[in-house]
Amino acid sequence: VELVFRPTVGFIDLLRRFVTEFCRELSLDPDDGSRVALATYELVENAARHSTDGRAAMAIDVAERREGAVLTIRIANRASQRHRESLQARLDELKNLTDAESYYVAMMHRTAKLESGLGLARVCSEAEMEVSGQIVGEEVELYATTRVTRSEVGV
Amino acid sequence: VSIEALSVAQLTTTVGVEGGDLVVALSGNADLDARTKLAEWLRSVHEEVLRLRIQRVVVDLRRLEFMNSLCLNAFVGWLATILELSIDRQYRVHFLWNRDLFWQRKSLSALCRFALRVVTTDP
Repeated sequence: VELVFRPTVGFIDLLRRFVTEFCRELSLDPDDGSRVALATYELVENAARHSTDGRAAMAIDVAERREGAVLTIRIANRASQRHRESLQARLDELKNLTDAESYYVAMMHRTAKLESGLGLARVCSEAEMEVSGQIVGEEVELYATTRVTRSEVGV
Repeated sequence: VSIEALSVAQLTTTVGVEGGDLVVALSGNADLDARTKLAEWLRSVHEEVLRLRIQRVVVDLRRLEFMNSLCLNAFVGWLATILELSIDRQYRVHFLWNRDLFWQRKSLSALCRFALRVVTTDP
């Protein structure tokens, strides 16, 4: 699935529901579908809030590998220098992540008095996905990857 | 209890008293448009609980389909405010949740770790 869009709040929730259905069509385990939908929501909302031109691009890819199916969400958008710097710092922290829930709880302590900052940690912990990214010029590209289980029926 | 129910975007809340508990229930969808109002509403809940010296708030999430991280952060802020109180003024927050909603299991697990002293869950 690939989409280029101007995300709005209503659209982001619609996308979450669409991804849930998409995962069901792929015969993914229901918990896997919930994880992927949650991650999609958080990443797209993040793009919507920080995109400097109001646009974002999203792709979801499922690859069959020797170790099983691997699903990757890719989100790309343009962002301000301030946001890019903040995001790079967060991505550096995520490179060495060993315990996602402990990091998530630590982020709760850091952001308790702020309005935001939990999104990527939530993707790592609640959605159980590995988050990485690259920043080239004004372009920010985030990837969230996870192994998924497909049921026998419908594969 | 002088807390008004909240209705913003796709989120609605109700407020009631059962036994000695303040019971607040959320339903719908807590998204970007609800964040600011939800945080304000939780502050009003906190002030009322302190005013009435209530010992426990029951938060019923069973009909809340989804909550984004911004709204979850509003709950984190509320719990942090409770933890900042002296022990004798702290009150408990008990969450009722829906087993069918994956995110609730994961979010509440993290909230319990964040505020172990004050958060309980059911089931």
